[in-house]
Amino acid sequence: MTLDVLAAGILSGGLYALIGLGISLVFGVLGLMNLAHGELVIAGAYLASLLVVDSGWDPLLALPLAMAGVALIAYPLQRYLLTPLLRGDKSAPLVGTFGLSLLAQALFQGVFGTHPKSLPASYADSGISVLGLRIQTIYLIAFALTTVLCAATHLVLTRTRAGSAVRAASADPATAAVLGINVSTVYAMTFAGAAALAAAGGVLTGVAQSFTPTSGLPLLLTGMAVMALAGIGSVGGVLLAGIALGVLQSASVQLFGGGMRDVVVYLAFFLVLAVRPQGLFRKAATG
Amino acid sequence: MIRSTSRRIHALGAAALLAATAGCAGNASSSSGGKNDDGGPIVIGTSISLSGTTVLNQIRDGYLLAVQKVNAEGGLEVGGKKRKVELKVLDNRSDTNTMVQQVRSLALTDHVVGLLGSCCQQNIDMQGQADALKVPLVMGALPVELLPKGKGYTWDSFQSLADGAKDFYTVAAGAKTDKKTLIVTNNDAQGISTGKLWGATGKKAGFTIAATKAVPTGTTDFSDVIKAGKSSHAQVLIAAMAPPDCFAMWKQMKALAYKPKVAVGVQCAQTPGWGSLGKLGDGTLVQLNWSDTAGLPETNLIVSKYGKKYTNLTDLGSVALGLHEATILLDAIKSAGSTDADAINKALAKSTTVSAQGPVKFVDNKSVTPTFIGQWEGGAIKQVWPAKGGSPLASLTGLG
Amino acid sequence: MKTPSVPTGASKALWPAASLAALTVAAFALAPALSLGQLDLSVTLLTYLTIAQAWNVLAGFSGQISLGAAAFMATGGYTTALTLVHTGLPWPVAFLGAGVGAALLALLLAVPLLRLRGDYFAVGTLAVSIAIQALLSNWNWAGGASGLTLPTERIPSGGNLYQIAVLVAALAMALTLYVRHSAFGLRLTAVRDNEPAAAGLGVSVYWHRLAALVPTSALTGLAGAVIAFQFVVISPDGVASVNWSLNAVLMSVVGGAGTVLGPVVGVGVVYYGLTRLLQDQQTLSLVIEGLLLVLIVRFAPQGVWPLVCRAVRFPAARRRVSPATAETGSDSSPQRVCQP
Repeated sequence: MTLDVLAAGILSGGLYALIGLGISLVFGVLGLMNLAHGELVIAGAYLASLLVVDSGWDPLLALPLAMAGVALIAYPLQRYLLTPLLRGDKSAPLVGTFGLSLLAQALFQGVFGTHPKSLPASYADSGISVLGLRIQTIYLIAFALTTVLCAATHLVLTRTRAGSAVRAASADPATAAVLGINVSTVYAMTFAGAAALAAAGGVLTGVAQSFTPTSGLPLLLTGMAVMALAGIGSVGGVLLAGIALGVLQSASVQLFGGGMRDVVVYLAFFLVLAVRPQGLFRKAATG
Repeated sequence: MIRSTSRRIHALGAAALLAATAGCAGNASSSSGGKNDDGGPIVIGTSISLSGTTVLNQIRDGYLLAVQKVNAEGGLEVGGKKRKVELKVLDNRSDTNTMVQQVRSLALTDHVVGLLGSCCQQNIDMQGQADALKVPLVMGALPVELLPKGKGYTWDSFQSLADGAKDFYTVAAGAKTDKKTLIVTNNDAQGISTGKLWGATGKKAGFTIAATKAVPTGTTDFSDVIKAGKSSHAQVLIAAMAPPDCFAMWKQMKALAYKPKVAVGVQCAQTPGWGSLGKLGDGTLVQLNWSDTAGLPETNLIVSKYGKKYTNLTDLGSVALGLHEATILLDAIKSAGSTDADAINKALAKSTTVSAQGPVKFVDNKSVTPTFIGQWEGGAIKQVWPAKGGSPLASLTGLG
Repeated sequence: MKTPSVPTGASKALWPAASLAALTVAAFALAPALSLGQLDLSVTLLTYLTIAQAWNVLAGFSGQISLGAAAFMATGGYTTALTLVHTGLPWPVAFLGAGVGAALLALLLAVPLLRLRGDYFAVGTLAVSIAIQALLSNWNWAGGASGLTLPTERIPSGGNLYQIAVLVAALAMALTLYVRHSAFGLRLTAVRDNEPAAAGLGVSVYWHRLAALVPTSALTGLAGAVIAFQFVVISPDGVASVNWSLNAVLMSVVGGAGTVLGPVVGVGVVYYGLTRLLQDQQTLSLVIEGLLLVLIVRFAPQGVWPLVCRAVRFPAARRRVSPATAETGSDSSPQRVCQP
């Protein structure tokens, strides 16, 4: 494998990690498999497009607003719809979030139309040379931002009161409730936080690539792959898993040709899941 | 007491099971009025993708336009009597299984006398159904070379890949390049055949195919492809992929400083969304099936009816495509003078329809429509080939 | 292992089993009376019923929530198609091969899959099904992305195909009835509800999960063969589409997972209420389908069938089910009470 293929893999891995971080957080804390995660990502891109395409904002300026906007939508969804579902049958959240993803797709299609959109920015198609390698600037930005957001998430979870409430609710919701933690609020806050992370991934995806109302599904699958590789409960693991996925994709294209990319990626995803259900980047004892 | 309630449950369960297994009886009897031999309207149908990943509202509008036109004249004369035409439009949500189920129910339950197509890979899958059900199917939006050899019930009137390739190379030969060519396509059936055909045509036209790459739909990282283009100094780029793939690739090409001199986005750059790339998209060539400056029949009708709803060449071209396909089918019903599937199929073989995409003449179930090469310039597509009535070729400013 | 004495014993299964047998015979005999359109629609509905019921046994009764039905559909469909296209064997061989092929795939996948629990099992099965779809698209001997066309003169169609579909669906119903009323089924639900407790009582968790996975996969494979016969042309986009997996889940859950008749109702509701009724509605159909799914799981989490069922035996159920047990979904919840 040549150096530039490796670099491209690592850099696109940053974006994968960001998309996987939200889904992994929600699954780790709430035990909720959110099939509408891809639509949260796309929602971020569409919200940003209102500011970027219509009002000429820079996508990176629109990014925090898109994050906040999607978080605001996500909070009541979890509080009043998804948390009650978690008490019911195991498959209820799967069906419920699948229903939400259909609703979101219809909403995007109705409001924004079906033609692909893209967020224009000077750094979307510019490149820089590092150590003789040519690199697309947006992926470098995305990688840096992912690292920052991963670090921030890690710090919030480990160093703040809110973070300890999240970890308590994650470990044992019943005991946490007895200790006076409002588990419903913690769940909703966690989901909103994950949605904000998803939205950030969406804005970056919109700048680096393009999006349509139905772009959510491949993003969801990417997120799931990252989650499975990373294992639950390790923010650092998510970052490493994203990079591993990116490198795996680049390498499989290099070795077997583009056609076999999905075969290699999903087989690897499945085997890792099956052989190390606790993830590649966690010790067995803590899984 | 308990025993009797439990029996009631069984009765209810049995009823539910019956409803699911044989409950279609009521459904079918209510629609038997749609049978095409009772003097009611002549029913034709389409299972078309109107939501999901592919949205073909424009083609649907073209179908409806053709039906309106015929009905405004009192309908079609069949068996010595004028009968109105009814078009059943079903949305298959871009799902192959739904499409198959809908086509089967159109043929077997609604007894449609003819079918109209959807687009692309779905059209290939639909051909198998038309052959199995023995119902004539008229389609476009599938390059004629890609129509598999079937059993004769599918009629494809659309552009030929060979024409598109030949015209593109003529345009490319006019630009100053080293004639080294990079081809990248999706790895589905349509992509692979497109890649082969454009490669072979290029060699004949004196171009060197430096590299051919196939990537799965949804690829976002093209560094491998771009590296091949850079290392072989290919100045001519042919990309035949889904739109999101081209979007990602164009951005990455610019970023990684790969600068072809001529680039065409087959399948992908026609989308009006290409304009959201801004300057980056300028100069990209596209293959068009229709142009308002080409002097085709019905141009005025299409522009006056849909010029406000659809403001760009591609969308209007899709309306033209729909109008063209539906007119071929309606003309065939008229000249067959019958609603019998085989009579209509025979009439299609002898079709002499002239409609929105020009004259029709089927050879081996295929009739080639004209090809135009267009170019993106300041957010709109301009026809550049044939040069007559169009604009001159601009340089590839977006990537250069 | 000694079979524990079961309250939901064989005597209670007599009525449903007799009804099923009678219905199967009736449906079988009905074939000449149905029009081509009715036969075709019945094949579609019966296939959905088969995969929904297979999912129901696997997820509803055994607690293994799968998103991988498409993998077994594809295995069945492609086994059938490849056998017919590349060999001169008659269709019954190809058809049975579909069941065997899917069962073998299940046995092979069981080694890694049965290590997974809960949502991990769901994600794992999804990954497998996507990998298989991608593999089929690249496999030229199997027609690659354009798939295969079956030899129409050598495959069943019309009334014959309908009768095959009736038999396959009846098999799926019979399996569900068996699981619902047998000691084996009781142990299966015990593993679902409390794995450590079940293991403590001497129930082999691994073998019970495997015993649910393999026959349901074989049934799904047979459904794949039926679809191959019906569609005539199969491609990775069609028979390996993740939509089969989603439909199996939706139909079971909407009707009522873990009940015998829930999936039957679910197939009716989802196919007629959502797919058929809204097929000319475009965007609106997405809105209504999404909304309905959300509302059903939020306000009728047990599915539609238990609601209907309870409405019928209202007085009896009311008295026996206290609100507390209904919430936790334990053994005396309406979900289990309302099962004929």
